[in-house]
Amino acid sequence: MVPLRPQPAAFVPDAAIALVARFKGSRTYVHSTDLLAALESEACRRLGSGAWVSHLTIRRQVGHAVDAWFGPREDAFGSFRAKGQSGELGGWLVESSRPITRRVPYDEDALLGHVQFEGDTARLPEAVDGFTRHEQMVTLWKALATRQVPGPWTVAQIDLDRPLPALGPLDVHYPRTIDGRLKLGVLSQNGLVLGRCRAFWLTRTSPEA
Amino acid sequence: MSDPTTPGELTVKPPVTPRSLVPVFEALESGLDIDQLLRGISFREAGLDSLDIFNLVLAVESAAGLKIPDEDLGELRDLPALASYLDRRLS
Repeated sequence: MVPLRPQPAAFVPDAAIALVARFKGSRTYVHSTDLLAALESEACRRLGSGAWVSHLTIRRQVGHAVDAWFGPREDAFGSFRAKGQSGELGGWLVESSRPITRRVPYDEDALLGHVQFEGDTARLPEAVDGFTRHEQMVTLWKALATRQVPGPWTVAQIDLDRPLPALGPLDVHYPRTIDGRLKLGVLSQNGLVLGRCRAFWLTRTSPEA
Repeated sequence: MSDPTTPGELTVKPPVTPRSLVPVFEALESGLDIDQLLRGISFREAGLDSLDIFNLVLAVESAAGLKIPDEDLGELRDLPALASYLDRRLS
């Protein structure tokens, strides 16, 4: 089954771009925040500055370089959409056969040290230097899920209503948990909802289980 | 609980039939073969993974205005079973 249909307004058929070819820290899979950064860069190039990734789905972890395709692919492991001033675009994420040889430092513990927990909410009171807002967002979601139920949580779907603000606090909470291993997360700033995520308890390597 | 990725503007009211749930599935944009689902093929056989089923549950809850308890998830194997369940809950 082809993943969530992107339905892009600015459709570019049969085109693909090399997207991500690096690992973060000690990981052996491509991190969602690297996909978000690469897709946002591509969205800004095609749709103008200020464009953002409005949707990202990752159905399994991948250990090879990732390509973005702008036409349907049955072998896609994920999909994306982006929005900008000049329109929208969408496409599919495909794991290539190219090995990843580049690794970049990533001290997530340093970021986790800034996370504050209060009730059922996790918060970063300010933007944290040295980390992208995408990294801060995903770390918050994983930190709260792990605090609630320790385990191998992963973020499988992200939907953003607007670009992430560069400054100010970020708050996350999980208003809905299904079957103990699927969580709907909400991201907000000062009460304004910025977006949502689907977090999964990884039983194997993907939500395919 | 609102969610822009679920069809919040859709509503499900009794009598709930498999065909009356088609708009919910179409709004999910999952690429599913709706005709297969109407014939009673299971969601798993149709190719839905856990993420799809998660999104389906959220969409149905939003459209029907109810919460599906974890203990009921097991009986929602296919579209006819889902329609029957919702009809029972909403009637």
